[in-house]
Amino acid sequence: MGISTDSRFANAAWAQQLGGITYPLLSDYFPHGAVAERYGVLTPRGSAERALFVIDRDGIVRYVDVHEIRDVPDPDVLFGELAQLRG
Amino acid sequence: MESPKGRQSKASSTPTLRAGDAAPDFTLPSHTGEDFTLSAHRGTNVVLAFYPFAFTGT
Repeated sequence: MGISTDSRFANAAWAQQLGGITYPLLSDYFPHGAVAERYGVLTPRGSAERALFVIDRDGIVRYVDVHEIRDVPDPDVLFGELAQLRG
Repeated sequence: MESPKGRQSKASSTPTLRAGDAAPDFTLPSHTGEDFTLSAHRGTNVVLAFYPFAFTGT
């Protein structure tokens, strides 16, 4: 799932521009950034950090990766973590 | 490449969750208009990818 503090309409427009997307983009828009705040990734500018959380089937956080805003996370690292959870 | 596992957000006013913490439940609207509730997905692994703004890369 993707999450940002954008409105649902901005996310819908972005999904359309990407040519369709197979997972939901969630709007943490109102109350603004409340979920990002609870996960500890809301910035003073009101946007979310670029951050990944892997949550296991029992609802426990298993992996946290907070990135610099211009860095795109390495998908292979994430896939490795997921493979461990499946194992 | 070394994984920056568990790095804390430098900008957030609350501590970033760490591995082992219970994930706070939430319900948020998706871009298709349906609500997504985290606790409804127990039994499957979920990846939450926070991003700053739409149109800025995934």
